Amino acid sequence: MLILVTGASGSGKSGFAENAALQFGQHVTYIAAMKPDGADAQKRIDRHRAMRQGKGFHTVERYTDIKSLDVRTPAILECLPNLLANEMFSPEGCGAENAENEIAEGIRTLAEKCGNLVVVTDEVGSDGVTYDAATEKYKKILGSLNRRIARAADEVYEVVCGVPMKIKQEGRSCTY
Amino acid sequence: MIFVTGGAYVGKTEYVKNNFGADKKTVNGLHKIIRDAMANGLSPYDEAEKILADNPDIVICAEVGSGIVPLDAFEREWRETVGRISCMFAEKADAVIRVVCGIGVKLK
Repeated sequence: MLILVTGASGSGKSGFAENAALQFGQHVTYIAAMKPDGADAQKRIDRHRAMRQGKGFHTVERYTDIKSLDVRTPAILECLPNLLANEMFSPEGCGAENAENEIAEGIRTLAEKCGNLVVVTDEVGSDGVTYDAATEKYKKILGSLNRRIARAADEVYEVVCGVPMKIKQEGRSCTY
Repeated sequence: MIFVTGGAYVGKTEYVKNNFGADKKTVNGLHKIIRDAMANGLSPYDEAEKILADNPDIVICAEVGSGIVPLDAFEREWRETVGRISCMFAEKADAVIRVVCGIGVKLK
């Protein structure tokens, strides 16, 4: 089972996604893609750590190349926008040209190994702002990846103010 | 008329093509039409009325108002106008669809 969870920042999607992943069993791997670069990132990481403390996750920090991750338990990948930024912009990443296919393939492979995988993503294209070329490219690839993963997913949710809206169920769009 | 909205790169155009076919009378990019009208000193509301009078089957418009209010007056007015005109189209539409991750969510 592949579940995609999207929503704005601060919408409560991580909490929802964690609980969704925990329904798959007691041993759930938490794949953390956010690099602890700077105080702001560290603060977010600390907040997420506190949030999942006691929930029994086994945390794996992985910033790039999820394809080669060997996880054999249900898992949650938090989150796609960080993973994409790492692949596109960090020295260890595979670069902007390869990032989309590399990640799409990585998620497909990972979902197979995990059996059940929850992927957390983000909505970044609703502010009407046109950014510099690199950022626009990032937005475009993230949008494209979101669609590819949603297509492959069994369930898709958009979380709004903490309320999960189910927009795909049993492999079919359930809202139109 | 079917009004389709959603953020940038969510797959609005692809969604319309896959679900309604390529042969429909479609206005794609209402937000850009509004912007061009404003940049050229024309009334975006007049342009919107012209589009409506032409009876399109489908109108696609990006959602642009979910960020920080821009400092720049033109950007601010554009965002606001896209929102207002979207409300206008949605009210007149038979169906309103918001696309998220390529999935159409029916709002109306």
